[in-house]
Amino acid sequence: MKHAVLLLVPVSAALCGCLAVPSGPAPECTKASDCDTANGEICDEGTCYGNPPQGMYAVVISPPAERQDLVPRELVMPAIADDGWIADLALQRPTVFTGRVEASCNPPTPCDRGAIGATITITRPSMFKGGPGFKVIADAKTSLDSSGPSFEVALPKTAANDTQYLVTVIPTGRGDEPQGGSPSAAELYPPMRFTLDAKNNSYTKTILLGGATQPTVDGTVVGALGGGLSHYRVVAMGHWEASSPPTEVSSVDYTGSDGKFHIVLADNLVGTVELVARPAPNAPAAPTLHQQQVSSTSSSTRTLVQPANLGNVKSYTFPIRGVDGSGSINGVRGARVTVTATIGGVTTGQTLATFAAEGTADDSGNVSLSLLDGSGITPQYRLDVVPPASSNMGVLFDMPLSLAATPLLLPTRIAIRGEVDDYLGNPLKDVSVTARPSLRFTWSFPDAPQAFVSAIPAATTLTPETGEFALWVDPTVATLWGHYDLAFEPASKARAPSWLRTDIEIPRDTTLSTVSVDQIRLPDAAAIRGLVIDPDGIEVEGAEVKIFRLSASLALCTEVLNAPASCPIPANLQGRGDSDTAGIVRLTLPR
Amino acid sequence: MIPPSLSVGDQDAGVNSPPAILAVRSDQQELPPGETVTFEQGPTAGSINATLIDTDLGDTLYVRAFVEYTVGDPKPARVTCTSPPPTPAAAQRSVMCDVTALCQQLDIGQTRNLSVVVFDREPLESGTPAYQAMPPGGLKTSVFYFLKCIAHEQ
Repeated sequence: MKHAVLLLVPVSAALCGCLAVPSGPAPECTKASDCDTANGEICDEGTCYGNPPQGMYAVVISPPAERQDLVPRELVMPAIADDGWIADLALQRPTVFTGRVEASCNPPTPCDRGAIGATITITRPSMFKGGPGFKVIADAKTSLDSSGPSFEVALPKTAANDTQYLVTVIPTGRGDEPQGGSPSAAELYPPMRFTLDAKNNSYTKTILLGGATQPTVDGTVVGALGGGLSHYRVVAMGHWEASSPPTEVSSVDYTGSDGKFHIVLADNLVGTVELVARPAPNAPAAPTLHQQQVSSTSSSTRTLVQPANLGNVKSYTFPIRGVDGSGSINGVRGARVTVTATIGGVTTGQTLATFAAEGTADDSGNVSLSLLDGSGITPQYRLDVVPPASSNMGVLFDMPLSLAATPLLLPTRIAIRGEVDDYLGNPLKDVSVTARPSLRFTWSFPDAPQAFVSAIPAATTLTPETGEFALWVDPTVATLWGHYDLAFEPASKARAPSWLRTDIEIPRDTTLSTVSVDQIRLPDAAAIRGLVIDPDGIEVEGAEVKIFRLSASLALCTEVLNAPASCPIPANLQGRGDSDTAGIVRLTLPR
Repeated sequence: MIPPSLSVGDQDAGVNSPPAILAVRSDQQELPPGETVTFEQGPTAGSINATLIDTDLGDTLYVRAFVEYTVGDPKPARVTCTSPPPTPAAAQRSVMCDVTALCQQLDIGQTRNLSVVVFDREPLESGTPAYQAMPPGGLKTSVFYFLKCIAHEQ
């Protein structure tokens, strides 16, 4: 575009008697010469379309919820013409995966051909690095019928070189407490996982749960004096793949008064599993018991022992305080307070006990928590506090906790200040600015503090006429100095692109209360558009189109201590739009 | 005779219209209200996109996601994002919300109640209901989900 500013003359408003809508910005163009035609731009709909930036992009098209006959599609390196037209935004028909979930038949036990209730999760990684990937979750129904499908799932078809789908089947009935009557499917059968090709139009499978040769873990949950403990939910946590997160990989069992349990492990697990016995939520507060390094390939017997001297459950009130802008000390309403304790070691055969209690500070800034008061646990208590996103008070992480009701004084956050301008240098109003811990910061921490940092709500604000913003962030967490990303999202339909300023480092100076960032000048926006159609060539309304900029750089993962092995740096989302009634979707890309 | 103006204006008139949530999307799919939705815990959780509508074209809309919020035990929003009035003016708009902090460590493996609420006035720091009180005349609408949190990749 040539950056010409056209004047919109509100003649009609002066005459009155007509339906006037709020005045918007003047159209960007009324004729081709208003646009940068030398670089391919055209004038249409009052907008200069085209002259897209060079770069490697990927597009994800998702159908509206009511179009169950269509599935999402990923396009790597879509063709974007000089006039801004995105080719081939065609949604596709799915492969339909149907079937039943049944129990495997192990003679001489009589075969039960009823359908078992289960949750079926089907995933496939994205075709491009850092893309959102595909995930669908479906329910398989419980039924006494011995025939007919109990689930149906629509999947994008796989092409010759595509990764296969991973299908995880988790039997239902995994609640905190046993369901009444007969055992649930989850109490009888472990989850299972298999891969699936979806090259054909349809695929049918009977999924068989259980088996005669699956390893089991039998055992007892006992108190410090050896008596059985009831109302514990026992399950094994393990890995389907080395890099996958730990998930429940066994049947579940609930202890009775004798404390005994029996669980069945899934096949094809990687490494050992961890037994986890968690007390029922409505039972008196007690630690969760863990035992690690349990074989996932052979059956074993284990005893989980509750630590001694836990004491009794008692309610404690903690005042959470902070220094406000006027220098006075006040309660911090809405602060989330978590008290944890870990007792014991992780050596094979030993029981590790973990305890957690959580509460939210009331209007006065006080929080009440139910804690155990015995000498076996009180020295182990650690405290985390996270104030609300809008607060100028900071977090506390992994602090020793005294049960005396002394006020807990929070540190003060630091303000990141700046100004957002458009590409011409004019302040931009109504830009949503969000500060979040950068990947460099987050992945510098080991697991526990990493989870803590991720759980701090992102600070967000909207720029006024002056384009200025101020966001409160924690300068340090667990002695590490912060790095933050700033995400800028202009108003819906605005002629400015979304933008990300990455890895703003907080200066290592404890006396600072403000960090000023350079003027943020959003790049010029290239307007692009395309037509979303179904396989019959019919326009699709309400489809979502996202465009990502691809980056092959994984350098960050080598520069930080605790990046996940798969280095899942998200692809940079550059534009997003929904198709209109004519199937046209309009997006902007930063130049 | 000068006819009366039928302007819809860009400022609030006497009667405020409620905002509404048309759709909430995550990754590649629309999240069906009332169903179970799954999010990763941590920095790879991504974002959600909320499609909103408000016939008060000048209203800024405030989206908040609450987990396990009850009147008896109100908790502050874990996700906050703001949608300014679209330019040019339109009733429908969309906003991206970072959901990194939606799932916390103690949520993993549990099923939680998740409410996504849109307000047409900025929620106040104090007042009742806690974290959802607005200046007089403010209106809100919400959609409910069951939230399941899973651990992030190792």
